[in-house]
Amino acid sequence: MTTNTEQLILGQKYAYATAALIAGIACFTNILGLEKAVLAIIFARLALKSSPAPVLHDRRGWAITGMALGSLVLVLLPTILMLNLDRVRTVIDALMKLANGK
Amino acid sequence: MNESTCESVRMAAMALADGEKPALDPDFIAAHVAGCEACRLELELLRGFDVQIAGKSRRQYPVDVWPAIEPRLAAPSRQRRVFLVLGVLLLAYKVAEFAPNREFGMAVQLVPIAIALAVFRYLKENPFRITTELKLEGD
Repeated sequence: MTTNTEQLILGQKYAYATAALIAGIACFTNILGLEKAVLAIIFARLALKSSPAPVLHDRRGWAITGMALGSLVLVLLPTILMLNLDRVRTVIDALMKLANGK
Repeated sequence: MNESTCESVRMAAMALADGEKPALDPDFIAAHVAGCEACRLELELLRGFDVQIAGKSRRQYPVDVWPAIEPRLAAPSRQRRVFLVLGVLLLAYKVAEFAPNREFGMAVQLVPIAIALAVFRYLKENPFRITTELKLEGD
Protein backbone atom coordinates (compact mmCIF):
# COMPACT_ATOMS: atom_id res chain seq x y z
CA MET A 1 0.00 0.00 0.00
CA THR A 2 1.31 3.46 -0.78
CA THR A 3 1.93 6.00 1.95
CA ASN A 4 -0.80 8.20 0.50
CA THR A 5 -3.39 5.41 0.75
CA GLU A 6 -2.23 4.57 4.27
CA GLN A 7 -2.65 8.21 5.28
CA LEU A 8 -6.14 8.27 3.81
CA ILE A 9 -7.11 5.17 5.79
CA LEU A 10 -5.46 6.51 8.93
CA GLY A 11 -7.31 9.82 8.54
CA GLN A 12 -10.63 8.00 8.52
CA LYS A 13 -9.60 5.94 11.54
CA TYR A 14 -8.69 9.16 13.39
CA ALA A 15 -12.19 10.43 12.65
CA TYR A 16 -13.78 7.19 13.89
CA ALA A 17 -11.68 7.30 17.07
CA THR A 18 -12.84 10.86 17.76
CA ALA A 19 -16.46 9.98 16.99
CA ALA A 20 -16.25 6.93 19.30
CA LEU A 21 -14.92 9.00 22.19
CA ILE A 22 -17.43 11.82 21.77
CA ALA A 23 -20.35 9.41 21.34
CA GLY A 24 -19.18 7.47 24.40
CA ILE A 25 -19.17 10.63 26.51
CA ALA A 26 -22.54 11.67 25.08
CA CYS A 27 -23.99 8.35 26.34
CA PHE A 28 -23.66 9.69 29.89
CA THR A 29 -25.75 12.78 29.32
CA ASN A 30 -29.36 13.21 28.31
CA ILE A 31 -30.56 16.70 27.49
CA LEU A 32 -33.77 15.56 25.77
CA GLY A 33 -31.71 14.21 22.86
CA LEU A 34 -30.48 17.69 22.00
CA GLU A 35 -26.87 16.69 22.71
CA LYS A 36 -26.98 14.30 19.75
CA ALA A 37 -28.38 17.03 17.52
CA VAL A 38 -25.57 19.39 18.58
CA LEU A 39 -22.95 16.71 17.85
CA ALA A 40 -24.48 15.99 14.42
CA ILE A 41 -24.23 19.68 13.56
CA ILE A 42 -20.62 19.94 14.86
CA PHE A 43 -19.45 16.84 12.94
CA ALA A 44 -21.26 17.97 9.78
CA ARG A 45 -19.73 21.42 10.06
CA LEU A 46 -16.25 19.87 10.39
CA ALA A 47 -16.87 17.68 7.33
CA LEU A 48 -18.15 20.57 5.22
CA LYS A 49 -15.45 23.08 6.17
CA SER A 50 -13.40 24.24 3.20
CA SER A 51 -10.26 24.80 5.26
CA PRO A 52 -7.94 22.97 5.58
CA ALA A 53 -8.06 21.76 1.96
CA PRO A 54 -9.20 19.56 0.26
CA VAL A 55 -12.93 20.16 0.22
CA LEU A 56 -15.17 17.13 0.76
CA HIS A 57 -16.99 16.03 -2.39
CA ASP A 58 -18.01 12.40 -1.82
CA ARG A 59 -20.50 12.01 1.00
CA ARG A 60 -21.05 15.75 1.12
CA GLY A 61 -24.75 14.88 1.00
CA TRP A 62 -24.32 12.75 4.12
CA ALA A 63 -22.91 15.69 6.06
CA ILE A 64 -25.61 18.06 4.82
CA THR A 65 -28.33 15.54 5.72
CA GLY A 66 -26.79 15.06 9.18
CA MET A 67 -26.69 18.80 9.72
CA ALA A 68 -30.31 19.19 8.52
CA LEU A 69 -31.57 16.38 10.78
CA GLY A 70 -29.68 17.75 13.78
CA SER A 71 -30.98 21.26 13.12
CA LEU A 72 -34.50 19.91 12.73
CA VAL A 73 -34.41 18.31 16.20
CA LEU A 74 -32.73 21.38 17.65
CA VAL A 75 -35.57 23.60 16.40
CA LEU A 76 -38.52 21.20 16.56
CA LEU A 77 -38.08 19.84 20.08
CA PRO A 78 -37.91 23.19 21.94
CA THR A 79 -40.80 24.48 19.79
CA ILE A 80 -43.02 21.50 20.63
CA LEU A 81 -42.09 21.82 24.30
CA MET A 82 -42.91 25.53 24.35
CA LEU A 83 -46.24 24.98 22.61
CA ASN A 84 -47.21 22.21 25.04
CA LEU A 85 -45.70 23.57 28.22
CA ASP A 86 -48.81 22.90 30.34
CA ARG A 87 -49.07 19.30 29.19
CA VAL A 88 -45.34 18.78 29.71
CA ARG A 89 -45.66 20.06 33.30
CA THR A 90 -48.52 17.63 33.93
CA VAL A 91 -46.47 14.74 32.51
CA ILE A 92 -43.42 15.71 34.58
CA ASP A 93 -45.54 15.94 37.76
CA ALA A 94 -47.06 12.53 37.04
CA LEU A 95 -43.63 11.01 36.43
CA MET A 96 -42.25 12.51 39.64
CA LYS A 97 -45.18 11.16 41.65
CA LEU A 98 -44.62 7.77 40.04
CA ALA A 99 -40.94 7.91 40.92
CA ASN A 100 -41.71 8.84 44.54
CA GLY A 101 -44.29 6.06 44.78
CA LYS A 102 -47.15 8.44 45.76
CA MET B 1 61.14 -22.14 16.72
CA ASN B 2 58.00 -23.97 17.78
CA GLU B 3 54.85 -22.61 16.01
CA SER B 4 52.70 -22.74 19.16
CA THR B 5 55.42 -20.87 21.15
CA CYS B 6 55.53 -18.15 18.45
CA GLU B 7 51.74 -17.78 18.60
CA SER B 8 51.80 -17.53 22.42
CA VAL B 9 54.63 -14.99 22.34
CA ARG B 10 52.86 -12.84 19.73
CA MET B 11 49.65 -12.80 21.77
CA ALA B 12 51.58 -12.00 24.95
CA ALA B 13 53.54 -9.24 23.19
CA MET B 14 50.29 -7.68 21.87
CA ALA B 15 48.82 -7.80 25.36
CA LEU B 16 51.95 -6.13 26.74
CA ALA B 17 51.75 -3.40 24.06
CA ASP B 18 48.10 -2.79 25.01
CA GLY B 19 49.11 -2.29 28.61
CA GLU B 20 47.65 -5.59 29.78
CA LYS B 21 49.31 -8.26 31.90
CA PRO B 22 50.84 -10.83 29.49
CA ALA B 23 50.53 -14.57 30.01
CA LEU B 24 54.30 -14.94 29.54
CA ASP B 25 57.25 -13.36 31.30
CA PRO B 26 58.19 -10.02 29.59
CA ASP B 27 61.88 -10.99 29.54
CA PHE B 28 61.03 -14.26 27.81
CA ILE B 29 58.94 -12.34 25.26
CA ALA B 30 61.77 -9.88 24.60
CA ALA B 31 64.32 -12.70 24.23
CA HIS B 32 62.04 -14.64 21.87
CA VAL B 33 61.25 -11.64 19.66
CA ALA B 34 64.96 -10.75 19.48
CA GLY B 35 65.75 -14.22 18.20
CA CYS B 36 62.68 -14.86 15.96
CA GLU B 37 62.46 -12.79 12.79
CA ALA B 38 58.96 -14.05 11.90
CA CYS B 39 57.58 -12.85 15.23
CA ARG B 40 59.44 -9.53 14.90
CA LEU B 41 57.92 -8.87 11.46
CA GLU B 42 54.44 -9.93 12.61
CA LEU B 43 54.59 -7.65 15.65
CA GLU B 44 55.86 -4.71 13.56
CA LEU B 45 52.96 -5.26 11.17
CA LEU B 46 50.48 -5.29 14.07
CA ARG B 47 52.05 -2.16 15.57
CA GLY B 48 51.63 -0.49 12.18
CA PHE B 49 47.93 -1.39 12.27
CA ASP B 50 47.73 -0.03 15.81
CA VAL B 51 49.25 3.29 14.73
CA GLN B 52 46.82 3.57 11.83
CA ILE B 53 43.79 2.73 13.97
CA ALA B 54 44.89 5.05 16.78
CA GLY B 55 44.80 7.96 14.33
CA LYS B 56 41.14 7.28 13.53
CA SER B 57 38.12 8.18 15.61
CA ARG B 58 34.49 7.14 15.45
CA ARG B 59 32.05 9.54 13.90
CA GLN B 60 30.32 11.51 16.61
CA TYR B 61 26.62 12.38 16.50
CA PRO B 62 26.25 15.44 18.72
CA VAL B 63 22.48 15.74 18.05
CA ASP B 64 20.49 15.01 21.22
CA VAL B 65 17.39 13.11 20.05
CA TRP B 66 16.14 12.21 23.54
CA PRO B 67 14.02 15.38 24.04
CA ALA B 68 12.09 14.44 20.88
CA ILE B 69 11.71 10.78 21.86
CA GLU B 70 10.78 11.23 25.53
CA PRO B 71 7.38 12.93 25.06
CA ARG B 72 6.39 10.29 22.50
CA LEU B 73 7.12 7.53 25.00
CA ALA B 74 5.34 9.30 27.85
CA ALA B 75 2.28 10.54 25.93
CA PRO B 76 0.30 7.30 25.46
CA SER B 77 0.62 6.22 29.08
CA ARG B 78 -0.40 9.70 30.33
CA GLN B 79 -3.35 9.77 27.95
CA ARG B 80 -4.38 6.26 29.03
CA ARG B 81 -4.33 7.32 32.70
CA VAL B 82 -6.38 10.44 31.98
CA PHE B 83 -8.99 8.50 30.00
CA LEU B 84 -9.16 5.95 32.81
CA VAL B 85 -9.93 8.80 35.23
CA LEU B 86 -12.56 10.08 32.76
CA GLY B 87 -14.21 6.65 32.73
CA VAL B 88 -14.20 6.40 36.52
CA LEU B 89 -15.69 9.89 36.92
CA LEU B 90 -18.43 9.23 34.37
CA LEU B 91 -19.23 5.92 36.05
CA ALA B 92 -19.42 7.62 39.45
CA TYR B 93 -21.75 10.23 37.95
CA LYS B 94 -24.04 7.53 36.54
CA VAL B 95 -24.12 5.65 39.85
CA ALA B 96 -24.98 8.89 41.70
CA GLU B 97 -27.69 9.65 39.15
CA PHE B 98 -29.36 6.28 39.70
CA ALA B 99 -29.16 6.54 43.48
CA PRO B 100 -32.68 6.35 45.05
CA ASN B 101 -34.37 9.32 46.76
CA ARG B 102 -32.14 11.83 45.07
CA GLU B 103 -33.63 14.51 42.90
CA PHE B 104 -31.22 16.26 40.63
CA GLY B 105 -32.26 19.04 38.33
CA MET B 106 -31.70 19.21 34.60
CA ALA B 107 -28.43 21.07 35.15
CA VAL B 108 -26.79 17.92 36.51
CA GLN B 109 -26.96 16.51 32.96
CA LEU B 110 -24.22 18.96 32.08
CA VAL B 111 -21.78 17.32 34.55
CA PRO B 112 -20.47 14.69 32.04
CA ILE B 113 -19.91 17.46 29.50
CA ALA B 114 -18.01 19.50 32.10
CA ILE B 115 -15.88 16.46 33.01
CA ALA B 116 -15.08 15.81 29.35
CA LEU B 117 -14.22 19.46 28.77
CA ALA B 118 -11.90 19.41 31.80
CA VAL B 119 -10.16 16.26 30.49
CA PHE B 120 -9.63 17.73 27.01
CA ARG B 121 -8.37 20.95 28.56
CA TYR B 122 -5.91 18.99 30.73
CA LEU B 123 -4.68 17.03 27.70
CA LYS B 124 -4.49 20.27 25.69
CA GLU B 125 -6.45 18.54 22.94
CA ASN B 126 -9.33 19.82 20.86
CA PRO B 127 -11.32 16.80 19.62
CA PHE B 128 -13.00 18.97 17.01
CA ARG B 129 -9.77 20.16 15.42
CA ILE B 130 -8.84 18.77 12.00
CA THR B 131 -5.19 17.79 12.30
CA THR B 132 -2.91 18.63 9.41
CA GLU B 133 -0.03 16.63 10.92
CA LEU B 134 -1.27 13.11 10.40
CA LYS B 135 1.60 10.70 11.05
CA LEU B 136 1.79 7.05 10.09
CA GLU B 137 2.78 4.55 12.78
CA GLY B 138 6.57 4.31 12.87
CA ASP B 139 7.15 7.71 11.25
